[in-house]
Amino acid sequence: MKESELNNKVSESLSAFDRLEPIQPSSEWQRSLSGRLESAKYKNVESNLPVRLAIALIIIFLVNIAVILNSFNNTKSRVNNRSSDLEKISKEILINPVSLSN
Amino acid sequence: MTDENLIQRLKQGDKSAFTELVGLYGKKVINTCYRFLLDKEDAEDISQEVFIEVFYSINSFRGESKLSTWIYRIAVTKSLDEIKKRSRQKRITSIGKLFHLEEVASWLTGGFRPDTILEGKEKLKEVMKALDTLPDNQRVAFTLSKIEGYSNPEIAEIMNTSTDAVESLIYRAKKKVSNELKIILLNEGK
Repeated sequence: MKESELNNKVSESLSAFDRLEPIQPSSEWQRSLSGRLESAKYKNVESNLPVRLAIALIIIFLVNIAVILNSFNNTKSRVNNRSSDLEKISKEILINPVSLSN
Repeated sequence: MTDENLIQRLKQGDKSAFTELVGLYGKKVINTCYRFLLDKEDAEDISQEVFIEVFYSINSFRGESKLSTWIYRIAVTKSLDEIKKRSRQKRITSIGKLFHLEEVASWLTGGFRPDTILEGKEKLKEVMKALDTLPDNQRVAFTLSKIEGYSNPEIAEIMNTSTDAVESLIYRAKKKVSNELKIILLNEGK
């Protein structure tokens, strides 16, 4: 394709876009807008409750997980502390056999 | 009737104010969507979504811009979203075709058929393809500049930028669209 032919085609396409006639809304448009507005209102009210319930359930679930994890960690550290305490006590109670013989 | 009065009535849920608003801006909103989507049915559908959003979010309108600017901004955003949705659907359809899963793709895209858009309007189809290559800000400035009733300062307000920036965006968009059109036409001529 020649350069001039190509340029002509480009300007034809661009002017087709420029010359695009404005459209008139169809007679149905306004009526269907009112209908959609009503149904959106209904949907809004209806869809709020399940969404809120779902959010509440998720929050409760997350809080539960956090509590369980926290208590699990506490038990673990308590067991560790207790065993180290026992170790200390047993060391203190133990009498050194060398000191006894003296 | 001033904008403030209309906004106040809209915030109070006055239905007649909403009808007035649709009467004032309806035609321009539809034509804005039409320039972006180049399909009358889609333009009507998206413009209805614009007014539904206006109705439900009027309470969040703080009056920092003119009411009209706010409405046209919503129209532009919704139109761009629709264009992105279309290209997603196009991708799904072509993947479906590749794996011979046209029915699944059609179900996923809600029966979207990319070939039916702009059927018989070859020149507009080419322009649409060229416009698809533009960044959003260039596309918005260029498209709005083609709609009767939008001045550059108004476009600048909608895009929240300066008039100089809009002029530069339009200039760059024109150049890019022309170049892209050349490539498209050359490929089609092969």
